[in-house]
Amino acid sequence: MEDRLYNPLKLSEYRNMFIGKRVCTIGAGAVGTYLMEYFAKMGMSLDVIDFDSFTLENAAKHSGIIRTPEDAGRNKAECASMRVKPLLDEGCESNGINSNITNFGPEAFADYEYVILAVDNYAAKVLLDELIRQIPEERRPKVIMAGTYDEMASSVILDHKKFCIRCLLDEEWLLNGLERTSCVGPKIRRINGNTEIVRTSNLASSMAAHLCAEQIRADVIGVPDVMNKRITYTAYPSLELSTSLPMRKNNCPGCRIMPPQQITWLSGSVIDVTLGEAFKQIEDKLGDSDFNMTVHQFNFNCISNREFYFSGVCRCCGSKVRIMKHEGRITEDDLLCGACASKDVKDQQGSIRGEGEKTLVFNKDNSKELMDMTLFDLGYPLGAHIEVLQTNGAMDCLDEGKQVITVFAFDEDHTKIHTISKL
Amino acid sequence: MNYSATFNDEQGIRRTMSVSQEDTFEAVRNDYNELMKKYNTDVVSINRCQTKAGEALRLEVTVKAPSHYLTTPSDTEPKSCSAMSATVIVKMGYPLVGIEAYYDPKHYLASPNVFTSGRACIDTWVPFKSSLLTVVDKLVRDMIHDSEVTRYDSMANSAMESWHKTGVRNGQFPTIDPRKLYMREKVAMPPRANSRSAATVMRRVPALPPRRH
Repeated sequence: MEDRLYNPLKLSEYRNMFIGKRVCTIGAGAVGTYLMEYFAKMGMSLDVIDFDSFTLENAAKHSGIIRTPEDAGRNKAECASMRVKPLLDEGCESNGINSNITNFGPEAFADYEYVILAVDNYAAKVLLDELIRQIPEERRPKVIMAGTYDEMASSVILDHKKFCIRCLLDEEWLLNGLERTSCVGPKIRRINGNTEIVRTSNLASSMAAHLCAEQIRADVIGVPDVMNKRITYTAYPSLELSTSLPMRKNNCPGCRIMPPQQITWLSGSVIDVTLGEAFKQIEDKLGDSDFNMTVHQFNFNCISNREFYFSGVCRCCGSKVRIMKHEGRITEDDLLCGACASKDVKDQQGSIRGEGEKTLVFNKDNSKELMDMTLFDLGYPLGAHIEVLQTNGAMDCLDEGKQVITVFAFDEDHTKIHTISKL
Repeated sequence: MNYSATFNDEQGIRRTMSVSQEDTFEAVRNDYNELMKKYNTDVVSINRCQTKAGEALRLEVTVKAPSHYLTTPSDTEPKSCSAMSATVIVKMGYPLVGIEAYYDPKHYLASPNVFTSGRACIDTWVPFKSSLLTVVDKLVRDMIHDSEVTRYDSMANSAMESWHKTGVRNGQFPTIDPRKLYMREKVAMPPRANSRSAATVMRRVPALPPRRH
């Protein structure tokens, strides 16, 4: 009996073309777990990102690589990555990252051939669109968005040359971007005033993953006219497979996003490098110590997060609380003072916005405490594009040509994503 | 860096837009140029200040007209002054990202629309309706206590409500005629028409036909 997993004589002659290709799957749910199984068997290296945990009811839809009931309660990404490891071909790797997509910047995805969106909310899809659009065209991965709706499965592959992910989304769907969704519509529908969850089967989910894998396979082996197409499978009222050519949306905000003209590389990773160390490296590159580093900015669910908070106001008693976090990472618990945290204050509502001490930039005058914090802890995601502004004596933006913005990124960020397990 | 925002426009229609840095610079330049033409420089002075990173423009707006100020967050007794200044900050991402305006916390405007921290309460920011022009206009008219722009329904400092209303009722507010804030319009008048020209010559009314009996 052969002890090898894959016998080349019995498998596709194109299989070698997939060895060494890297895929990142965002979401290890009903579609994502099937994708991991397919990619592993195709001979690709794969990473997966998910912040959620498996529950028992997931067993009805997820791929058989997930074990029931022993995997219930485990992080989806870590667990699926571990379960898929025995299926990996020689030289292939798999890594599961327990994290939210807001912890990643554009450069984190620049090392992949394909990035698969198998998430159930539009806010994440729009954010990934922004991240991918910020990667220079020559390093930009191809994106596939796969999902289900009723007994329908759909998968779209795009290279961002004809349209972007946001072009595929109705702006009305983005009003509540965190509502559970699929790639073809909101997963909540209203019939005669009653709200109903749009149901899908495990067959539709596995079919969405299958269509996605087929699109990658066709693209890798060079089948013509694969790119920028949608394949849709419907099981009801008739069983059929159709293709369509999505178009660019009028005035699409996603299509307006452009990558920086030039990126200057710093050594290290945002996870390890402190603000003080970053300043030294930037100073060496610019030959100038008079600059400001802009706090990381990202848009999520129609909210722009771009400030770093030193302190805020307790949402219960109004007293000052120390925060030291980026706006996008502040939780309700951060807005409670020590005394109120020990009480039951779940009903208290509060907002960070407009209150507290905050900053839009970091500079050399910052405290030692701040200088010793890593860039990640200061809110920069893994693979961030970091904007540094040199005023050069300019008073404001009306002094044209004086202000210089340089975009920096760290050279280890795009490989770090293959090894980290939690962010 | 691009800034995106979803907002309700003037018609209440939900829209999503994104602006680039170049868009912000162009919008700031256009609005600043308009601002410079708008006000009477004898009364309103607008000076550029050094920006901090993340800011596109920082202006100091001063109105040289009688006004009233407070000195501490707990101060409720307005004091007279002959001029009042505020700092206006236009951030990157304008016009999607709103403008902020502050008074010196030790010399802030006594008004129902100014927080006790010195932050000016400007109306809800509606992109492409609100602008640098609308914010500065609200500020300069607030500084002369013009009740036309004062909002009593959403007050930042309710302790100033009755004082402000009394001033308006007694005719003390606004402290100067608001028209004095603005530059007189220098519109070229058309040339005076020549009295002998055909257009102005009165034509004699023709005689009525003879009456018929």
